[in-house]
Amino acid sequence: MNRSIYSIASIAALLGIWILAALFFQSHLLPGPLAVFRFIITELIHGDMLFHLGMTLWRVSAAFVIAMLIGCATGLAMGRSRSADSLLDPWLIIFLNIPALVTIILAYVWGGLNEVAAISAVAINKIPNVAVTLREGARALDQGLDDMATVYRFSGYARYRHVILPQLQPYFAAAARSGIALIWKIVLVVELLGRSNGVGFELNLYFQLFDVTGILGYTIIFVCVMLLIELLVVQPFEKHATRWRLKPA
Amino acid sequence: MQPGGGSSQLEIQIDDKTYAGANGKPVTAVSGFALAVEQNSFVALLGPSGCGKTTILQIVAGLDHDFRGSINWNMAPHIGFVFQEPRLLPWRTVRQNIELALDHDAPGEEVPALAAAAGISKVLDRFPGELSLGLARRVAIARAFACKPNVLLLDEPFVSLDEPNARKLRALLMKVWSERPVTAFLVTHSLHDALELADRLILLAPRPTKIITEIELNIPRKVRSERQINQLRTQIKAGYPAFFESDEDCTPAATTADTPASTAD
Repeated sequence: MNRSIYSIASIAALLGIWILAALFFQSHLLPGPLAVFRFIITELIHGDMLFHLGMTLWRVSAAFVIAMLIGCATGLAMGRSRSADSLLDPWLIIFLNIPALVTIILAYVWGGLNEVAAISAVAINKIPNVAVTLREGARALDQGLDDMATVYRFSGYARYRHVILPQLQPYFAAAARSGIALIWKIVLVVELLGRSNGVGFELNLYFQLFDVTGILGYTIIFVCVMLLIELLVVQPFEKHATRWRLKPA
Repeated sequence: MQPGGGSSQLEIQIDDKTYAGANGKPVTAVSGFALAVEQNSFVALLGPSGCGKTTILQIVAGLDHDFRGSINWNMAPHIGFVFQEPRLLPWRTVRQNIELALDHDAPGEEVPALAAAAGISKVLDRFPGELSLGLARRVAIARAFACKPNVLLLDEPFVSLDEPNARKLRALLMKVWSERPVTAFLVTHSLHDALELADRLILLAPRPTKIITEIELNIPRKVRSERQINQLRTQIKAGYPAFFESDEDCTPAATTADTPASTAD
């Protein structure tokens, strides 16, 4: 038996537990998979589900790009320069410990209930994590390879592309992975508190209606979208970037 | 040794090189090291492990500017450096590793020809992680010649290889070097390796590193048999008993590396 069979079996077991629980409780507060599946199909074809998914994905992507750019730049500067590190380290500790909810509320209070405030709030929550990860990456850069690049007179571009970035790749990957996972959860909160569309807004709506089918439908479709991104974007990229590593026999 | 001699290609003058030691006090690594090197000569710097030989190479390579003294080049330096560990980029293939060292201003040597000379044609498309240490060192040697160097720096290139592989690598280095002559500095703790490869042998005292003496080897390389190398080794060891016996680092390292060779040939 290989690993994918185990994965399929474990998902099937989860579905089985769900079906049994739904049959046992017979309540509209716990609909079965079939009802939820029917809801998803109806909403996708006749409802606004695609629109709300699209809005949420756009916010996730925007916040992700901003958080990665600023976080990487900050982390690399802190890892390479001692003074930048001592200057920014207290900020980093403070921002790491501010609850996501506080950032979101303050962003809405100070920036107004708009898209810029929403996306900034999410990005600000993620920047410190990215910076901490990339700082470790910058600290772990190999001085020997750097000397080699100097001796063989690599251009600045070649040094980045062939010496520095490949060493940082695992740290980028770690930051991106945990970044996506964290960001989409915060985006839903941001939408719930101050936007009139997106998955978070819809979840709030179905919560007001006590419509568990709607809540589960939106949850499942969004988890599926994130899984697809993981399978189709993140994993192939990682596989390509780490192809030089020896595979365990 | 005549510093300032007209035909020398490179004059190294390291008056003083210090670094901060463990307790914050400055430690002198090299002091009063002066050497003038003629073009295409092969110089071996022989000294016990950890005695600051690598520091000298780093200074010559321009990787370390924090010293008192000067490095005078009579031409633009093009340096090929074979580091103690191969220092290949593990995420680039062997071919890419060599190509990245090619000089982009002057048309360099073709990678296939160089790979053939170094005996690595078959592994050009492999990643360094798939190679044995011996093969990786060959790639490092090919890379060092790829940039068309006028000075080749070799930092213990045979260390941690078993003797048959080390012997193969020495022969390979000799072959590539005689086809593409270049001024070479070999840093080693093995008297045998130095005697097999070099024209000039410089004995270094450790901590701080300074020159004890210089021995010219005026024997053509072709007739340097294992027997002759062993004779020379015995002579030199007898001539400088303090150098080879007082320092604990030097003697065992040199003998363990040399014994299998002398018995095998």
